[in-house]
Formats: sequence, structure tokens, C-alpha cells
Amino acid sequence: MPASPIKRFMLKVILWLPVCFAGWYYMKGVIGVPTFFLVDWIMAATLPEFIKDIEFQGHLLNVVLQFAPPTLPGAEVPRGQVAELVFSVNSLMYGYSIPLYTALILATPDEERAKWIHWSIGFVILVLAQTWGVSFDILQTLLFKLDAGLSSQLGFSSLQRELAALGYQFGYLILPAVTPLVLWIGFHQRFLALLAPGMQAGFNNRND
Amino acid sequence: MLRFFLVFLAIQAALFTAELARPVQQAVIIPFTESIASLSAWMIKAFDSGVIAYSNVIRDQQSGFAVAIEAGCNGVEATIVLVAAMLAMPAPWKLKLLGIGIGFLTIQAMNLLRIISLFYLGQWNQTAFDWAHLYIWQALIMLDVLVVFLIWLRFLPGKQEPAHAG
Repeated sequence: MPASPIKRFMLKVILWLPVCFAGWYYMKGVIGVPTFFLVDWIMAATLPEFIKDIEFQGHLLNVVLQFAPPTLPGAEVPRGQVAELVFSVNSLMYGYSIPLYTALILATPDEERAKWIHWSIGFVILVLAQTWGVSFDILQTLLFKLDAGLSSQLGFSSLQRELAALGYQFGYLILPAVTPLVLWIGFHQRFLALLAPGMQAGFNNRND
Repeated sequence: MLRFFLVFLAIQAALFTAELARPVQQAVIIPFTESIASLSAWMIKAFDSGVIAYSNVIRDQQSGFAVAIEAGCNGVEATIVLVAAMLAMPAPWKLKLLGIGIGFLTIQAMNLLRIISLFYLGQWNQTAFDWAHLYIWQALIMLDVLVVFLIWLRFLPGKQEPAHAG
């Protein structure tokens, strides 16, 4: 089976991958900014009474919660008193798709301009996928990791909790893994036809 | 191509939702994950006798270091992506089933390599373990899926001539 074009392509991807991962990690303070702004905006719009602030610290998003403190036996909470709690989300866990996609783009023979266009569009979509992952990570922490008395203050129904759990799993397990491959396949159909001529024939047969 | 993507996404969403359903978890995913832990431990024992496995955990008896194989570490999601892609592709069923079978074995072989390498990386350096676990191996497993899919595409038959009567 003549698999040499695939071998050549994959060798290039493997060579580009460490470079892309290094660049991605050392530029995390810049690359993560769009995701931070989007997550901050989404949380401010959806849970303003719970999330007081989100701070961007390298790859960590520090989420500052504000809530009515639970009453403890023998302790009286002064009127108007609120409690604060901070937890962090590692945004890189949802962003490894960016160096993977970049390596795929760099390894694909294409015009320089086309590479930039494909990368830019892909980057925007991958940032949205990362935003999904980080937002649902925050939500699942609020719903499933905090004390039940606190998470009940969110007022989510059991169905909404199930959907939030599904959204989190989807954002963690599927989106970062699949999105770069889907984008790459979508943008490089001509190159794919060279790598695997049977693919185009398959589509043509379906259209007959 | 658009139809391929839509069918691919629909199959993937259905399989992923099914995977997360409690009955499927109890009947398939948890036993499967435990068998992966046992298989990994059995392979490690071939050259390192101080390793034990129980449930979904592999533990080094001397250092006490242990890894738990959780969702996302059992190769099921990568297999779902490959299955969805092959099912969505217009191809003979025999080729699809063959591709899914060989693809499953390839992904699981790569995943065993991932688990064993992480087990030793974790005993050596926590930062290296975190990097490999959270970022590098995730990308490599998906590249594995892509390679299997591309090689499988090369086996697809060329344009079929329509049959003529008489």
C-alpha cells in the first residue's frame, strides 16, 4: 500500500508539533486573552450575582465567587455580609487544539496566504471551543464541586444540571480533540484528495 | 463534503451521549476501562514486577505512585471520533467494519503506550506528567485517529461504473 504521502505529511506534523507546543506555551499570556475576555463576558452576563470577578493569570483563570455565607450552628452572620471564594481553571486543558491545528497547517503544502487565512479562521473557532470548555468547567465547579447549600443558590433544575454535565464532558473530551481535525479536513479537501484519492471518488459515487 | 460533516457530527453526538449514559457506563465503559488498567499492568509486569492493578488504578508498590484511568484516558472518545468519521464516509460496509476494527486496535495500542509512559513519567517528574497527560498525548492520540482515517481512505474503491442492462 503506497502510504508514503501520508508518512511524509505525518513526519512533518510530528516535527512541527514540539515547535508549536513550545510557542503556544510561551505565548499563553497573549493567546489566552481572547478566551479570557469571552469567558469573562459570558459569566458576567449569565451569573453576575455569583461571579464577582475573573482574573487572567498566564494560563489560569481565577474565578472569584461571591455568595451569601451558609449559616453555621452557634454563629451569626451579620446582615449584608457576603463570603468570597476563589478557584482556578487551567485554560490550556481546552486549548491544546491550537498547537495541534497550527502543526497541521504548517505541515500541509499550501500558499502562504492560504495558510494564514486558514489558521486565522481556525484560531477564532478554536478560541470559541476553548471558551466553551472553560465556561462549562466553571459551571460544573459551581454545580458539582461546591457545597450543596451553595450550588443550590444557582437555582438549576436537575435537567439543567444534567445538561451542564454533558456540556462539560463535551467541552473537555470532544471539542478540543475533534475541532482541529474537522477544520483541517474542511480546509484541505484538495490535499486530502491527493493523500487519499478514494475519498473524492466516494463523494462522486454518492452524487451519482 | 457538507453531508459528510453533518452525518459525522450527528453520529458523534449520538455515540458520545450514549457513552455518558449511566447504563452504558455500568455495562460497557467501566468494565472496559478496568480491563485496560489490568492489561496495562500486565504489560508493565513483564519488565517491572512491583506493579499492581485494581479497579481502574495502576500502582507502583515501592513508590506508592498510582494512576487512575478515567474518562478521556481509555481511548473511547478517540474511537468514537474514528467510528463516526468512517460511518459518515460513503464506503462499502465491509470496508467500514474492517476500518473500525483495525482502527479500534490501533487507538487502543497507542493508548496503552500512553498509559504506560504516563505511569513512568509521573514517577519521574510531575510537571512532565502533567504536560504529557493534559496536552501532548491528547494531540498524539488525535493524530493517530487522523493517520488511521487517512490510510483507510486510501483503500476506498475508485469511481464505480453504473451497471448496464442487456
